[in-house]
Amino acid sequence: MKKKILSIMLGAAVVMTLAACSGDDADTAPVVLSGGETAQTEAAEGGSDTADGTGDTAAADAFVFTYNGIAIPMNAPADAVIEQLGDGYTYFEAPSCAYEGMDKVYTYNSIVVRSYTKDGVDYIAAVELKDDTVATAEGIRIGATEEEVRAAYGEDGNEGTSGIEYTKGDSFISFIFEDGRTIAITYTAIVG
Amino acid sequence: MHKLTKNGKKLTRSTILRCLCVAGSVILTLAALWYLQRLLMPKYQKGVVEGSMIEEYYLSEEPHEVIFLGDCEVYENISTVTLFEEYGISSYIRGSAQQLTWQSYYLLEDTLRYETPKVVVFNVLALKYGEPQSESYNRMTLDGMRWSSSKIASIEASMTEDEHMIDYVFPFLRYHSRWSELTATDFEHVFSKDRVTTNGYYMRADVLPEGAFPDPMPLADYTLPDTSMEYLEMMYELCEENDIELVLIKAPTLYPYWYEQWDDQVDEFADAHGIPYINYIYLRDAMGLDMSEDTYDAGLHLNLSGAEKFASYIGQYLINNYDLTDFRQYADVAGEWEDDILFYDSLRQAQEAELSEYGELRSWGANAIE
Repeated sequence: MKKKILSIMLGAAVVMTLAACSGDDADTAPVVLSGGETAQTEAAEGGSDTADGTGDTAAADAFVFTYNGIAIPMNAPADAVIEQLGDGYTYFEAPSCAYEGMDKVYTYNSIVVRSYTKDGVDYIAAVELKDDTVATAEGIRIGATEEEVRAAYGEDGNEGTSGIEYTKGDSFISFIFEDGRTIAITYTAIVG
Repeated sequence: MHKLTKNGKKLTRSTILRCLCVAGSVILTLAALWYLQRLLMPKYQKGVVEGSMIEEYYLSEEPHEVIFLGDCEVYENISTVTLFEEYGISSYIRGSAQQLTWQSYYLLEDTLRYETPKVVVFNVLALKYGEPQSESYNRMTLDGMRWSSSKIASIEASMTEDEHMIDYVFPFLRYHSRWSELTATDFEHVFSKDRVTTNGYYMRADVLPEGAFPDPMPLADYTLPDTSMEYLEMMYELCEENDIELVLIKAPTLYPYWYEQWDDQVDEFADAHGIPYINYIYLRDAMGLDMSEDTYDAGLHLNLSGAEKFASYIGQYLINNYDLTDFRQYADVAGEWEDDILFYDSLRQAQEAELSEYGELRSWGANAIE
């Protein structure tokens, strides 16, 4: 009798243990669901920033845009980057519904930097080029022709929701064309 | 005395006792698992309360002739109490955080199991999403639904890549990792929850004036996704089948940005189906919104005074255009609303008291997140 009861208790324990090991990892669980997340530690560190002016460099894991000599790698911790970029920006923040995140937007003269928050740390989410005073490392700026973009970045771009997209690691750069000319260039972090 | 089993063996008292013990153990184990599941599930009682909204509907006693569907642009922006007090409209907001169009559709199906409203008002912002977005938001909408074919279909349509139906059927499988972060609130609300809305309206009485918004990003394609438009079509058909008037609205808030191209597509849909679409962004002045005082988060959502103005304005439209009952004249329904109004007023007073004492809300919103 005791053995049977013990078996049942053990069975329950096994079920609970299995349950504890199944489902999604806590590491990837949204904040409200589980606080067991660990901070993202694989954010791109930015690679080598060799450009003095503007442009992007091929970081190991992500695109990096460089503005006024400051590297802005996608998915990198945002605070240090924003500090380096200086005070010449206007700031906007918008909490998501039910505080599931905070969109932070830093608008500079020629670019817009967006960040996302994960585990209380802000990371670079996107960089938008606002005008033709800045360019990618490949020399593409607002107003460039579609042919120039394809010549610089290749013919293998994907047509995504953000335009023609070129992926590098956990980021992509996208171009939107109107009448054959580039009207928008955006670097975007792919958030895992 | 001995009983005989089918094969003729005697069923002794000790055998019966053993069986009872086994059965008791099984029942106790299942009860313990059930309790653990209830304990570990998020309660959404402080700070982030949006996950409690969907299930609150089932506790509402009065009939509702107007049902609002959508995201925070309905549940934070329209005072259901103002609709009742000014027009006698008995309404409910079946809103939830980032409610996707298919979730709105299935919530309408779910609602029709309990009542058939005369008017359904759907806020169109979520039409921009054609794919599942976030597990957290999914959970806030789906966990609170009672089990039905609508809930199953909504889960199937909503799951992100890493989600599994089994985790919705047995939430313990998903929430077990919360054991290390349980708070007093989790233990306090294992079996019951406090009310967080007034017929779906989530009150915020604080004020943070609207500021400047960043310029909208250009989009590669302004076409609203097929999936959300198909569910809008299904919503229209479901309303037609049930003799319900469908009204499409865009709440008067400016961010997240609502592109003109999207507006045109909703306009076309409404024209093609002979239903109204009202973009209240263009009617902010007409309804008397003063965004220096009618928003609590710099213009993303309306606060209490803003929600009362919007309700007053949309309520006038509803009674002018639809045959709605003035439930203030019906004692039984008015009696139910009295309780709702008491809750609403006490919440208003509590928030005003905190604002007076601290200059900010501490028991609601971000400051209250545990």
